Parts: sequence; structure tokens; C-alpha cells
Amino acid sequence: MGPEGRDQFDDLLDGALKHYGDVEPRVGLEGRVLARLPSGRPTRVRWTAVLAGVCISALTVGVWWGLSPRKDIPRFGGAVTPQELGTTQPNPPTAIEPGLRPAEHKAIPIKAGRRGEPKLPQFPSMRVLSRQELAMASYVERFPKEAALIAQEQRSFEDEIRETEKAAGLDRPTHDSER
Amino acid sequence: MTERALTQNALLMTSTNEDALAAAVREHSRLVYRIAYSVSRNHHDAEDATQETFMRVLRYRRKLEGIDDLKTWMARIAWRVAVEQAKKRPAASLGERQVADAISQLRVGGKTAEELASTREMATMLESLIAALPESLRDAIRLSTVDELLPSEIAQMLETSEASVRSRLFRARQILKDKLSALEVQHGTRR
Repeated sequence: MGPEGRDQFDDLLDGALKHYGDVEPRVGLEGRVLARLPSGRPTRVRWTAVLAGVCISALTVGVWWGLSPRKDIPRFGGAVTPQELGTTQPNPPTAIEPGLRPAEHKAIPIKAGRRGEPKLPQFPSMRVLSRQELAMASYVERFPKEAALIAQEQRSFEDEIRETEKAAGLDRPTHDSER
Repeated sequence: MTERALTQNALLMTSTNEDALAAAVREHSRLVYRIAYSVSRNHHDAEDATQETFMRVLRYRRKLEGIDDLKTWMARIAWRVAVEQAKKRPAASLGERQVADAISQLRVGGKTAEELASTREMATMLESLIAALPESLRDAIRLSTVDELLPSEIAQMLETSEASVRSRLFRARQILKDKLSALEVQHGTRR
């Protein structure tokens, strides 16, 4: 085709392109689109509800955690109260001379019994050894002869004190009987 | 930005006003559909793309604050959705038989160019020829067939200048005409 053909193709292309874009959606497109679109309000409410639930749960757990007693955590350096031991002392402690006050009462690591283990009715309840007691046991194990000598000296010293007190007319119980 | 567009953007941003969303669908769904159809050439796919476009509009409504032209913004989303969909589906190629039928229609005497252009064979062949164009030219000519879009809006959608769009359209038309001419000569000399 010559120039006449080129003109014909121009017209043809124009018409074809016009038909190419001349399309209409099927009836009810808007309704179908809107029906399948999620509305914004319910989504926000759903997220708000989830957020509120999480916050309430976290708050509840926090309050419960904060108010619950920590029996499982051992404390060091603090005195042990009868309430913490779960027992009551039948006799209140009497006044002890400063020189005879046992040092181990200042720091007794408290370790409650394992969970599920029933409390023993005996008093004093079972407890782990203090640092001083552990050190003493270690010393006795490593130097049994020296430990025996020291114990013998201690006993003789206490006997002397007891005899002295008897001679002076002071019949008071010994330190061991206090315990 | 017009006051009406500002109001529509503000209503859409709140996303709780279902009337605003419905109004946007009513106003722009035809445009969105036609853009999608220009790519997919399939009613079902075009409707899916329309649906997905408005889902994205709902999802990205927070960005509306910086949008000057809601129509172009939606058109760009529709274009991207349709192109993404088209990439997932293989393009239909035109068979030799269909080309011969289309060309034979061109040679039938007594038919005007308008009548020839409206035939199914011509439409099929044009789809195939457009699909074979380079991407930049193909995009421009496809969008130019959507009546609602101005060259300036096509330029915004394709993120180029209006002059570039016009140049691409000119080159695309030249290529299409040359191919039509070549096909006519080829099939005409065979018979």
C-alpha cells in the first residue's frame, strides 16, 4: 500500500484503539467491591479489644506477682522470724549475755522446703547450716585432732566456770541448757 | 487540590466513614476497572484488580494526607495492581490463523476503517501487537486508551514527563502501523 494505505492504517489504528479501551464493567461492580471491602470501624474495635485484653492481663499478672510472698528466694544477712519459718517458738528468747550471744543468728540463709514437701511438726524445723557452722564443720573435717583439742579445752573451761558459779552460790543453767 | 478532593481525602483518612469509601468506589471504580482491563484484557482479572485496588486504598489511607490528586493516586494503584497480576499470568500470543483471519478482514472490500476496527479479529490482533511492544511504549499506549486519563495524568502514573508520554505514544503508533502494514503485505502476497 502507498500513502493511501498509510492513511487507511491510521484510521484503522485509531478505531481499533478506541475499541480497545471501550470497555464497561459488568453491572453491579460497585456493590461487589463494597461488599468485599472490610469496613474500618470493626477492625479498629477488634484491635482495641485485643489491646485492652493484653493490658488487663499484664496488669493482673503484675499485681499478683507484686503481692505474692517470695518464699522461694533465699535471703542472706537477715534475721529469721518465726513467721518466716512457719512455726511458733514456745518460749520467747531470754536475755543473753553479750559475750555469749551466738553470732550465727545474724546471718542464716533461709531456704524453704521444696515445693510440695509437707512441713515437719518438729521444732526447730530443719534448716541448712550457717556459714559459721559450715566453716566449723570444714575445720573439724580437715583438722580433727586440733578440733578435738579445742573442744576439750572449751569443755574444761566451761566446767571451771560452772564450778566457780557453784562455789559462789549461783546455780544458773549452762549455755547448752539455754539452748 | 480542590475543596471537594480535600474533604474526600479527610473522610477517607478517618476510615470510619463508610459513606466516604462508598463514594470513592462509586466515583472511581469505573476508571480503576478500565485501567485494570487495559492490562489484563479479561473481565474477571480486571474485577479482581479493582477489588485489590480499593483494598489497598483502604490500607494506605493514612498516606492520603500528602496526596493532591485522589484520582491519579487511585489510578496509579490500579495500574500497579494490574501489572502485578499480569506478570503472574502468561500473555496470550496470537496464532498464525488468527492473523490471517484478521488480515483477510482488512482486504474485504466495502468495509470502512471503523467497521474493520470494531471486528473481533482486529481487536485480537491489536492486543497481540500491543503486547509485543517495548514496555515503556506498551504502558503509554494502554493507558492512553482509557478515556478518563489525560496525558498529564498518564505522565504522573508512569512517573515521567508529559512530553515523554506524547513521544512514547507517537512511537508506539508508528510501530503498530508499520506492523499492520507489514502483516497486510505479507499475507496479501501469499494469497
